[in-house]
Amino acid sequence: MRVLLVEDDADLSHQIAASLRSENFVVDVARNGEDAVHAGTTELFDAAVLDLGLPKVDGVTVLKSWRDAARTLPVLVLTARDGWPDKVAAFKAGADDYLTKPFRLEELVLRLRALVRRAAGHAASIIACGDLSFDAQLGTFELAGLPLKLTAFEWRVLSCLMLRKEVIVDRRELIERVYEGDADVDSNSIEVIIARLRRKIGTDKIETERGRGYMLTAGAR
Amino acid sequence: MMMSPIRRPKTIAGRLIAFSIFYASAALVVACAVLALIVANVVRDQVDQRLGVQLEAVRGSVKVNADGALAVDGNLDGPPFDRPGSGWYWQVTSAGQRVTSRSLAGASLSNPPRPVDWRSLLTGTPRAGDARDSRGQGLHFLISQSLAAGKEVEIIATAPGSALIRPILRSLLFLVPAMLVLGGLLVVGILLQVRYGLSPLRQLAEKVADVSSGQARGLDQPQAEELRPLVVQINRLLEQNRARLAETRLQFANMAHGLKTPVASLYLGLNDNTDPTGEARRQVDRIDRQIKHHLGRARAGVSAAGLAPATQLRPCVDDIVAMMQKLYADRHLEITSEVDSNLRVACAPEDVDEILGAVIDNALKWAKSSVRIIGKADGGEIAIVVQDDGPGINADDITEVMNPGVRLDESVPGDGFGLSIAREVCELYGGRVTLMNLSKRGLSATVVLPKTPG
Repeated sequence: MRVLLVEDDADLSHQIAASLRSENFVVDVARNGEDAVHAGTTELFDAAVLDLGLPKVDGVTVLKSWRDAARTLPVLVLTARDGWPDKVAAFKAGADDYLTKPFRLEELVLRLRALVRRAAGHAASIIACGDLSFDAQLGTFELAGLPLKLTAFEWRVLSCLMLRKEVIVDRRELIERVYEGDADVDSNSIEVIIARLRRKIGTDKIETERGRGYMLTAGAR
Repeated sequence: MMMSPIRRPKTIAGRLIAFSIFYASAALVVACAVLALIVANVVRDQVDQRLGVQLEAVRGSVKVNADGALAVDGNLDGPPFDRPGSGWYWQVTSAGQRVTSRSLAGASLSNPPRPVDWRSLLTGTPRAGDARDSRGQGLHFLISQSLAAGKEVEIIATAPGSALIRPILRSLLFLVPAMLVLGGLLVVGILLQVRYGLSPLRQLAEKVADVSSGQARGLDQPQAEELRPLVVQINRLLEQNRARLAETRLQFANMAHGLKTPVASLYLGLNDNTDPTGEARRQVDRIDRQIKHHLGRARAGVSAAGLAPATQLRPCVDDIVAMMQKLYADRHLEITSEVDSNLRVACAPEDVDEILGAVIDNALKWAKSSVRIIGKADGGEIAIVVQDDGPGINADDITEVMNPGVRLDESVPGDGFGLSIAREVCELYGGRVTLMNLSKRGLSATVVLPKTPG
């Protein structure tokens, strides 16, 4: 799950980014409104965490320009303004959720996961694919009722495929959602991760669509 | 005893009308008097002319008979000098001898006053004067001393006072009604003039009323040149007020951001390792609540209450409902709203959001499956009823829950300021928020706000 974090305060953005990463999120950080508009309209994100009080271009304007550019990514607004008028304005501009500062990181993580899950079209928080199930709220995988141990990269790839189960996920899209924007990506690394995942959950669960990408499926067709 | 002072008119129209009527009446009275004086002069001139002719006639006819007696030739007693007691008399005297008109009927004009008139002395023309006859009748006379038939004679011709006064009275009989009619026309004219002249002011007052009821943002340039500076100033003040309000809101937003971002950072830095007792986190919590409380109060203070703006209720409710549907997406609550599309509340849109946001959010927090929002006009007010099917509130706590910082159930997220700020803002507009338990289940919150007139 790749998240765009837009927060101008250095301390706060470090803290949020660090804790989101520890929860297996891929985090790109934008420190002002202009960068945020650019990143949000040109790159692929599963969600954005957007502070409203930004230098240069304020948060509501950033949000509007994303929506004007037909970017439908779910946006969680972080705001210091706890009055309802500001919240209503943010939602009118296209926000999907908000958190008022100060907030608990656990809550931010839970809400982000819920946003990503709902945006992928899953109403319930448990997503199942055959005997593999994913608690999108807690971020845990179970295989045949037993907890599945995954590395950060494995988790990212599998959650991405799980949210789009039975759908072919483009290889490049998968790379974008798994690696941070400035990471040096080895083109073979995704294949390595897929191979490791197949060993853990079963070979037939992840199908390779040659030249296109991968698909998580309940069983062999 | 105190005399009650004359009450001054309370309206400009009243002042203009009162002053104009007073002034016009005074002018008419003066005009009437001047006209009467002119008539009096003309009449006196005519009477003097008549008397002058008589004097000349008498002088021309004076003769001394063979016996030395003073006499006049021919008949000089043409009417009105022939009627006894008429006041139209003449008399010639010379060295103790006297000839009189028939109208004197044997009486005489004894000791007539002899007014000193230098012009008459120099020119030798007759002098005029006023006297009374033996019966007390006022007389106007001309007197002249001259030589006639070789003798020094004094000739007096008189006319009755009534000959001077009657024409004046007669003219007044016409003048006074004419002046009253003129006065009436003037009053009508004044009323029309005041009405016409003050119509730009009346229109301005209507425009100001439109602005204060929120139907207009500013005043149009008036036709009347004199009102333009005023309108420019009023518009400038309105704009300033709006700009200041927006500026203050922004300042509070910036202040909130400036204060809460470091608090958020501090809060995230605290965990069981860095703050084993939890005391630091409690303190940060306290700071946060304080900031929230004071910013909330400050925000309420800069509300647009008093400007009496007009806000369409339905779009506001729709926006809030759309927001809540996203916020509470996972609870699968049914939110229904029945708000008439033409309802307009006299409350700034930001404040409508503030009030309804808090009330609807509270309902959704507690609702089991549905929330119902009903907006309807109720006389000069608009009532927005928000009903949930949650547990309701203990009768004892129902007033308590509206106080700042009060949370009846700590397990439900919130800071306890929502409803109290909503109530505070609502009251700034003269509205109110009341809570009531529903008979079957749930809580009903009623927000009452003033309706935009018109």
